[in-house]
Amino acid sequence: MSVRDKLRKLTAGTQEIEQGRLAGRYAGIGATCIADAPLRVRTRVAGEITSIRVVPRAGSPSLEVTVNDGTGLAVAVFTGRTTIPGVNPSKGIALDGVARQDRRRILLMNPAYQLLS
Amino acid sequence: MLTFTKRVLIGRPLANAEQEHQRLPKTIALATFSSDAISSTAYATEEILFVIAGGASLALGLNKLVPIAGVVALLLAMVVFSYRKTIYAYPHGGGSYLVSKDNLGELPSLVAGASLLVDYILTVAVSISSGVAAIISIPSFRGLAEHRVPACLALVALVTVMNLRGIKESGKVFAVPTYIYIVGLSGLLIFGLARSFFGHIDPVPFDPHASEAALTGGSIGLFLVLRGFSSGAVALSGVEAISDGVPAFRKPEAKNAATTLVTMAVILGTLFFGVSVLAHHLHPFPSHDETVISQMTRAVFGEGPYYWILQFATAAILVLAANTAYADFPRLSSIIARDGFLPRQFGNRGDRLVFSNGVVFLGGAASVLIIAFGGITSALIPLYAIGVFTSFTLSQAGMVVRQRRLREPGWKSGVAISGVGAVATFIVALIVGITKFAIGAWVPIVVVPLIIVLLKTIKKHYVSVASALEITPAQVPMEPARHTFVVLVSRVHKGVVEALNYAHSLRPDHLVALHIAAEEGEHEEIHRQWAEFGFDVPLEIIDSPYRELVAPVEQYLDELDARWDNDRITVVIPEFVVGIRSASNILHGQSALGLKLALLGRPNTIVTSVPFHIGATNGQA
Repeated sequence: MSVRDKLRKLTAGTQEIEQGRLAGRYAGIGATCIADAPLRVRTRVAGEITSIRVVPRAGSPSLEVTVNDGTGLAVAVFTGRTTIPGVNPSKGIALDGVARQDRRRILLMNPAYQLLS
Repeated sequence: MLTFTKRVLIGRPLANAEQEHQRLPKTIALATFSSDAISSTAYATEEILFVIAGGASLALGLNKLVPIAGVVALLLAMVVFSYRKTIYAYPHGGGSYLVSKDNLGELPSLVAGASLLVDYILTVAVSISSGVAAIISIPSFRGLAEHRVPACLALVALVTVMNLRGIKESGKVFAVPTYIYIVGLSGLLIFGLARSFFGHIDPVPFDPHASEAALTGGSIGLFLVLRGFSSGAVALSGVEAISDGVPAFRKPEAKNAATTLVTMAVILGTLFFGVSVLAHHLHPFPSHDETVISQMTRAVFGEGPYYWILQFATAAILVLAANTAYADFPRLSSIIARDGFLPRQFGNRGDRLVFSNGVVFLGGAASVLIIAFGGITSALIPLYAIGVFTSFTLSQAGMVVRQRRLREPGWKSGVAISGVGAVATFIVALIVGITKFAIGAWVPIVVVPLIIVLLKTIKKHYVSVASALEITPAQVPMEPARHTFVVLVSRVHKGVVEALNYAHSLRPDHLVALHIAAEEGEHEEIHRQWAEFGFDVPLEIIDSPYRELVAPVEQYLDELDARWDNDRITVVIPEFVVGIRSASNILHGQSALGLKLALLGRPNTIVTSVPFHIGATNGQA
């Protein structure tokens, strides 16, 4: 590691450190990385839950889970429910589903999920 | 507690309507504004002796004393004549800064302003340190010599606090020693001169250990005489003071100020010339241990009560010379600040209607100088004579321009007086600059331009801010159309409900609640509560793996900007208030404050606090 890299590390913000940490953890566990995930076909991505959005719209509530693997963001939308036991921020999760592009992230509707320890 | 201390030191606040309260009657104004000028009689003679006796010999120095004093007195008369005109022309004060701004343009006015500001700071430092020197001259106080600097600083603090109370208050207290000094010194001169002309008096016994000069021999050149003269010209410092402070006089300001100016000049000229003549007869010698006045008083009256009174009055008036600077510096800095060349704060009046920031700044700057120079006056004097004469020159040159422009009756004689005065003071400024360049006059020559650059930089900043804020009717932007509200939620409590209701009432396009999850499992609680209360607001839970608050919020706002076309994002922070002064604030983190500061720098973002007062619902504070 060059001095410059070391310096960079010292001055890096937490966001940068986080990207590095996530990329290190979720590369090589058999999932596609989010940045390269193909659209409109079944795909499997994995990452850490960074945020949860509860939309309590009357009649059609939904839960949106944002997953980060260090290369990009994937959002899983679970319709008809507001909580999923075990789906909590900072937990690892793998998602199986069909992705579509939604602005700068990919969106998976009601994917199959697997909690990672 | 703070208020209490302030009340004790400074007094009750005065209302704007009590402005008239701070006007000075002539007797007090004479003491306030002339103490600087008149105090120079206590050291100007000695400074001449130091220079000439130090360069050649004491005998030669004593010989040249009277002619030099005569020239200084002549110069004084010229300057005073010219300044009388200035006072009538500019009854709102400001002295040479305003005169040159009006007639000569911006740069000369800044030169005058900067020299005057420096001059006033030096006046405080010089007069306080020579006041302490006078106290140390009293044989029983010699021991104090070790504590010269702390003694100076204590006096600076005293004068600063007195001036924060108001110029009238300080003037009343400080007028007494000024008049005692004037009467006491006049007594010394009359009695001393009478004894040496009509009777016999022994000269001051020469003490070769204390003296800084050779007794006889040596030769004297024109350069040395001129250097001595420029030391003596210090006596003129402070003549400027009255023209700067005209608005401090009772009505009619200009007439009262002009009368006071002439009175002061007569007292100053007489005393200075008298001291020099007396010194010529009594042969005092320059010494760092005992002042010339002290030596002469002991020779004339012995070490009796008269000696003590005069010595204390001398010390007092030297300290009070600083008071003149305190009367003028804040006023001048406020005028310069109003023109945008100094920070606006200098223009704010404090509790007692004085420009407190100027007063405090003056005290601080003078203290720094005193510490830097170790409280020795002679080292400082060459620094300021040049500033005094620069401002004299500019002010009188400005008056020449003004009188030629307006052509009021009698303008020709006015132009002649001011013109001669301007040339004379310019020559003196040159003499001082050249003869004392090596021993310190270079400092103002370097410092004043630096200050001018600083003043211009400040002005430039204010101008750029003003132009950035300026708007014409044609430039009025459309009302922001799309508005997103983000309510920060840590857990559901009364304050949060209040904040959500508030945000709802403003009918935003998007409303979300945001929870930053810093601790493991923390989000489960909020998740459950949200369902339980059934709020009709989406809740977003953001993980903060590094337990930060500000960074995830900022990141989230960036994401919102990408998600929706927002014109404005308002972040609503529900805050419960336990009372601003309450010590129980320690029990509550002040994270909201940090967030507010951070978001202040984000464009199109508004941070709102919705306070919830703890005492309001349960009836106890």
